Amino acid sequence: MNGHLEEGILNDLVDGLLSEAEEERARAHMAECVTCRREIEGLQKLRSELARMPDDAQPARDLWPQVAWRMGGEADTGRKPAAALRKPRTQVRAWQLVAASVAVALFSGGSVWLLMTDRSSRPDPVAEVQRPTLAIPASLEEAFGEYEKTVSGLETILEEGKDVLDPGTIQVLEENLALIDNAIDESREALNRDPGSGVLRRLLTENLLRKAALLRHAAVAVRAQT
Amino acid sequence: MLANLVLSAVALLPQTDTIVSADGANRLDLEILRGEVVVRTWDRDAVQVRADHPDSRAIEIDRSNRAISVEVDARRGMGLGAVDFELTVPRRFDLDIEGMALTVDIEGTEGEVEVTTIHGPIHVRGGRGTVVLESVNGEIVVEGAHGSVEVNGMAGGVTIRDCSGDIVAESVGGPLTLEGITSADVEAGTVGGTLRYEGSIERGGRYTFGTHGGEIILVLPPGMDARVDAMTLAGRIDVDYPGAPDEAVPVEGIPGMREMELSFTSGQGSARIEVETFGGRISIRSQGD
Repeated sequence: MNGHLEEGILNDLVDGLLSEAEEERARAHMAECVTCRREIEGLQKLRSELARMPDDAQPARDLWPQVAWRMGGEADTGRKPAAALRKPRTQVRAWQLVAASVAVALFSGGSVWLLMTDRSSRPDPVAEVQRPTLAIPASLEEAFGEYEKTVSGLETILEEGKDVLDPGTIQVLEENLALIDNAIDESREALNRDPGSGVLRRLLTENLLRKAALLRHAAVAVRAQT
Repeated sequence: MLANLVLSAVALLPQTDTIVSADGANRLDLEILRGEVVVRTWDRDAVQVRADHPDSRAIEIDRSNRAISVEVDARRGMGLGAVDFELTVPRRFDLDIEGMALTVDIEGTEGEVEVTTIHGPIHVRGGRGTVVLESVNGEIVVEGAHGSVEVNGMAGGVTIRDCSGDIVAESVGGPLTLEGITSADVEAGTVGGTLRYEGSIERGGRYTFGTHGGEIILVLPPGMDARVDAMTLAGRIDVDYPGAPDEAVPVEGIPGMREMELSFTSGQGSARIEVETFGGRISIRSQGD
């Protein structure tokens, strides 16, 4: 696969499922291949972040246990899947990892959700925005739907509070959001062409999170002034 | 209990010029909406607060636990106008400054620094331990910080100069410049901005640079002990470093998109330098060239 380790090999390496010889071959390849090395680091990071998620962030969706088990380990599900680990499984797809990464970041950062759940008793213009759920959606579109729901709540705050922000800041925000949207579109389109690319997955995730972070800044500013 | 937590509260208006004993405190918190904030240091164990607020608003100075907090009392007057501060703090003090539209200038601190603003530039000279700076619309410059530096700029550009320690930096829509850096751990990324790194490459260090739609320029020390892996999607890689190949090689990657990679090792390759762009150019050269 383009001279890189297959996704299944990478996943099994993270899970410690490779034989000694397979693991040795994989590690030898990674010593020379930055793409695979970063891929494995991303998987390990995601796994470790998922393991730290609060209990109430664990979704009940059918698909989730499998993905959580693969990326979050047995600690997340409370089961010891030693035997199950040896069974063939469905491949975790790129968009699932994107969705999981974004969901983890939105939760573990905490700020987006905290912003949306006003800590004061004042009426909240986005109170109806739902807390993002750490669910692994059943399709790519649904994955982005979850993300868009979070982002649109922040956009609502920004839109409603535009008049309280400095016009120069509004202009910069809009320009930068356009830049990031363009980056999201480009990386998403490329990922559609090569769904197995760890590099693209990471790029897309980073850009999605950048957008959420920028909107969060703007929303905080609006909140503070209103 | 409350009396222990809040040792003093002083309400001052309309011009403020007062000195408060540090008395065991080691941090200054400042929270205002807009204004200019200048922070300087001295050897006295006290905090001087000068504020220019030509209206009826009050400046509140509280000391609780180990922090001295300064804020504008928005309950008096409009609360939304600018207040300019000149603060002088013990050199060792940590600083936490937060606002909406601030111009922040800090010099001489040997404590931790955290500044967050939405609009306005941040300039910090000094800082130890953790230095965290964030501005959505304003240039950020940090010089001479030692410790862990984290900078997030959304526009106006970010410059990190003559700093040492771990560095995490990101900018959107503006250039990101790191020069005179001594660090074993650097992570820097931009969207649509040029990223330039000129600094040390430490043995066993880890350096990650990425852009989306921007250029990456690495000026690396000659004779470094590092392995370099560079990759671009729909971009190009130019390298002029002793021992490096002349050209990047195309790899079979995303259908319809040119992907190029370039790798080389200098010395034993103990440090890792990873460079990625999407639609941008990577330029790697040796210092002095």
